[in-house]
Amino acid sequence: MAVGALPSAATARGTRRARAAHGSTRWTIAAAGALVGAVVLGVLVGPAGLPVRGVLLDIVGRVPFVHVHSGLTTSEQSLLWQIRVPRVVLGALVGWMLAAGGAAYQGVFRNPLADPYLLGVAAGAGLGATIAIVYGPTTSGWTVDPLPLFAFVGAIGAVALTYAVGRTADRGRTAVTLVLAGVAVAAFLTAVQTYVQERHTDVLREVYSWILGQLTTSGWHGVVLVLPYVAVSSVVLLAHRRLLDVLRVGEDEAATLGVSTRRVRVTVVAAATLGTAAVVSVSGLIGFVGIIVPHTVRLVAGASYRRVLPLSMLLGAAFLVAVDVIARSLSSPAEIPIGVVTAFFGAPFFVLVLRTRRTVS
Amino acid sequence: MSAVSLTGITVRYDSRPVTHVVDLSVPSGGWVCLIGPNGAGKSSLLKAVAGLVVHDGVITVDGADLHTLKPRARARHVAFVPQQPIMPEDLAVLDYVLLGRTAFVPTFGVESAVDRERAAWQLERLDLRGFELRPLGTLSGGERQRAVLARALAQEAPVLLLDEPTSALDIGHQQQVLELVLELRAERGLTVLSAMHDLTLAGQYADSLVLVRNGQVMAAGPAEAVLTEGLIGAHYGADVQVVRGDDGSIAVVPRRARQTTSSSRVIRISDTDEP
Repeated sequence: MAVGALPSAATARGTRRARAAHGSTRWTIAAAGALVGAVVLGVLVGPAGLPVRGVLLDIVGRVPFVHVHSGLTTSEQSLLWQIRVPRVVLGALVGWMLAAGGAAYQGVFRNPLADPYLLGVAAGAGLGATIAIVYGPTTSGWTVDPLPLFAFVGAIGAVALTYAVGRTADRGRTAVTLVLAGVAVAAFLTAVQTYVQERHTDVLREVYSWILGQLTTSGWHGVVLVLPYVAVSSVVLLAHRRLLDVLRVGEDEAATLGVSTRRVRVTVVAAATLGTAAVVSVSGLIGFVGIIVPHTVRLVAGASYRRVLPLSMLLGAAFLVAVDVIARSLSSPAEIPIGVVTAFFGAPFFVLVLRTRRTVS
Repeated sequence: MSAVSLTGITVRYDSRPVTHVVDLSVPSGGWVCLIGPNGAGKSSLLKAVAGLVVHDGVITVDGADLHTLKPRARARHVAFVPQQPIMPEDLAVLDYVLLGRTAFVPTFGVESAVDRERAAWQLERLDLRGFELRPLGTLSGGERQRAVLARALAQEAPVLLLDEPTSALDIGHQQQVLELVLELRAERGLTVLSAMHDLTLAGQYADSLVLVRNGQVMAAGPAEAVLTEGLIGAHYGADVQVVRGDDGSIAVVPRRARQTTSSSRVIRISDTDEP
């Protein structure tokens, strides 16, 4: 992977800045383009068979001051704007956050297998969802569906428990302690969940299908629910890009360089966890995205978090929207659970990326 | 110019003390080198000053207690060159040295042109011109060590902590790096606290040496007083000869144990035929 040495420092500096800027923009545009493409595909494809031209015109017609007659019936319009578009937007938000959370955790823990599920988000949300399904009141008795709330509380509670356990062990000083505490907490909560499931085998299917992940949504409720969390989380994570880069030399050296490593760790983990818990509570446990998307970005655009974070967000969103199209089209009108499709198509894709990068470098 | 003072420093790992109430001081602009056998506690003392280990006692720089400083402020007072730095293979050399400017970059901001210039300047001084875009993984051991030093110097801190700064360098680069540190001391009034295995180099460059063993200071003073055959023999268990150079500098020369000539050990090659 050797790069040839350049003649002088000044030239190198100038070239480097030019190359870095050019490279960054190039990748951002590509990723944004992929997202736009996936979104367009997502709104056009579906079992209802909406006319392509009609859909596009209708979307254009929503732009202020543009008056276009799309030719869609009211029920078609309702299907488009209450079911299909919200689903695509939700998919983009979920993919965006899962990838961002994964990239952030990998930065803080300097571990390529880290993602928010590592500290217990998955186990906690799974347990919360199981309890809601088994013991929760029927949805007709509540104005708000209790399932996302229980899942969210479970996810946050699990991470809080992980932190508490980590602190008693080592005053939470090192990242490794937290990871180990997370493994222990996740194992424990999963065991509890399995126990509850065994006692109530009648809801096994419902719990299982929730865990596999779904982007079904009626109206914009799901989007409205997660959007604030994803927005806040994204802002905090993007603000910490450079600090995550400094953390690459390890917490000790980063501390001697002037970084408050504990504060960065807590802030980044909190933001990533909050956003991930929110999307998981609505969409279930969609795995794979948080690890594979950031790694793909690293293989292609380098390991600096200044690029990995924003590109992971865009690519994660594009990936999940595209995967969702496949999930609802392949055995239409039935749907394959999205968690299955992400792994099924994502894994070979990643192997392909691995192979091409190896021959290039 | 900053004086460093360590008072009553006891460093513990898992409640096992590795230094015992050590008192040490480095005068402003001075160079004190810690010497001593492996496991003596030299690195632990440096890490205590760098704020990386918990310790009893007080460490001050110019009278300011380091314990009260936040990491960012501390980084502007003390720069640490670790013995085994973590160097991400794909990180470019210039980006690595730029990490040294972290304490100057606003928390949520980016490096400025001044930061880049200072970082590039350190690369020049450490003979790494042209290496800016090279990934760290492609550098030799010596080049890497110079890159770490460049990063520490980019911090522009008045106190420099060097943990085995020349262990991977060839004799030419060893001299070059240590001469550079001397130069910087003269220019900027750098105060240096180092730990070195090479006794001759330590004696040549440091103003005074502190011999540490089992976490305690056994001897302290100028090279002539500390680098004696007796002390080295007693604390290192090594048989050495202390020699004076033309310029008055001291060289510590290891003495090989006497070989007993044993005729049975001589292999008579002439008698054997090729198989």
